[in-house]
Amino acid sequence: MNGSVPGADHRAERGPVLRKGVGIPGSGWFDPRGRALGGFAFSANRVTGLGLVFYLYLHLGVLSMLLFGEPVWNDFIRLATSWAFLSLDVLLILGILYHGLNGIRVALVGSGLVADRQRALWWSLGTVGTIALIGAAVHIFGSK
Amino acid sequence: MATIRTRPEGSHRRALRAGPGRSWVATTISGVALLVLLGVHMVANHFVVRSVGGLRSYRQVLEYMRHPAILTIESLFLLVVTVHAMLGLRGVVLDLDPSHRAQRWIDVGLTVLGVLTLAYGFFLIGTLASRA
Amino acid sequence: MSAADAGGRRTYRVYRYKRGEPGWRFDVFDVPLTRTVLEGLRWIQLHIDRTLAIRHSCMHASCGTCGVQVNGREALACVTPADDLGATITVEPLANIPVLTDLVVDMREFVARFPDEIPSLRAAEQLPEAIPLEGIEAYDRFEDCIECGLCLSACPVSATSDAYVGPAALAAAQRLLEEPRGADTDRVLEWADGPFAGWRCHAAFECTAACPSDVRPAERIMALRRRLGGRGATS
Repeated sequence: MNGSVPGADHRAERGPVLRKGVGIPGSGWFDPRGRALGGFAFSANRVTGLGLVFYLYLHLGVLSMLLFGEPVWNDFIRLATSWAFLSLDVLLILGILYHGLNGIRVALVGSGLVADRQRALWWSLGTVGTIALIGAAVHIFGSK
Repeated sequence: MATIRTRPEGSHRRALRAGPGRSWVATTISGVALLVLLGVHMVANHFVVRSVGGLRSYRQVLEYMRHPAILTIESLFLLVVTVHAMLGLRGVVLDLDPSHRAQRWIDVGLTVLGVLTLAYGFFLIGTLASRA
Repeated sequence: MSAADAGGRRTYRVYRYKRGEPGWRFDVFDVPLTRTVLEGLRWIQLHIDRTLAIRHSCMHASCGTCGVQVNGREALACVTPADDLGATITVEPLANIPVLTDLVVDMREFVARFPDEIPSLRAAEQLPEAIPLEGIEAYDRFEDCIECGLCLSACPVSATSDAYVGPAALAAAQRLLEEPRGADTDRVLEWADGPFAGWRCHAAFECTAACPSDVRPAERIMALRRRLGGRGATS
């Protein structure tokens, strides 16, 4: 009897599981499609976090040039004060501000203290961050 | 009708010895500490110096590293940022759903990476301080 | 073609999977504009393809059985209007739960994530500002969670691991702690303290955004964490 029902022989198999993501297992957190504000904030927090880890090692590498003395370091500084590099510095500060301020939000929300205000926190801290970023950018570009 | 319970694959895994709650708390505490330490680092290192883009020349770096308070803060900053970075990386990697055995290797690997990062960072700080 | 150009018709892209057939696919159907996505799917069943498998019951968002993804977002098909989704409506089964066939997922795996202490019936959540009708206390309303699975589908952590118990189970655990009714709360807390339970949540709040029933699972998970922290359960 069972054999006459289409697919009955495969009843015990586990069917496919749809995953949001970019096709790579474990990428579900990264895909912003179909996400609300909280999901976007989480993805951006991770992206900035990974970027800052990369920057940590880049920074240690750059600082290693100090070991080679004044001429080497000052040559690097000449390069690092170009418009392109200063723009990257502003991007870095954007990443730092986002990760730090969203981190405050995650700490407050994730510990259960203000869990029902997560959207308001995102917008208010985002406003603070935007003002700080503009101030930093003006300071950085204004120094050139 | 009998209840059918099919547990998701992997849900029987034992809790890690480190404790998931402890990791979250450590990440949060190090994050809060970073808000202070990074703020001091950014302002003191880059925003109160007269230079293009806040980037110090060689002599300005040595001048900065001369102060014991700065040495202490920068050392603390290095420690906290490394801890926070390793814990954050751990969180990202854990979401790749590694096996229990792989998780242990990940913990070992990140600990080693963290220790090496600290070792090199303190070496840099110490060398620059000695030249100041 | 824009929705305005489509006028009274819509194109449905529907996920198809049948046991024993190799792989899955999307079938495309030209459907007259219906009030809801579920009505569109039923129209397909009745007029084009009787093999299309869909699950539904109450038709008014109280049973939770018609959960699907519509244009990439979790929704109850019975109350999702079809007229503002664009000219092409893509309907897929919920994510992170194995597909049985077409748009039907195996809810046993969803239900199995709940802690064993969860009983079948609990008193309803009462909004503190609600003014109850006279005599309403004589009745028990089922609690807000309709176990539709939309939160599990939306959760970015569940997208990476099947071991994670998911928002619904954690919200249910917190609900149980709020009103134990004789349940062993220590066991519930111990269950919630696991690496694939309360601490795995990354506070993305996608579950709250997807929930059609105002359970607010993310907020409940955060409240659960607060209890875990207060218990000194960060062991």
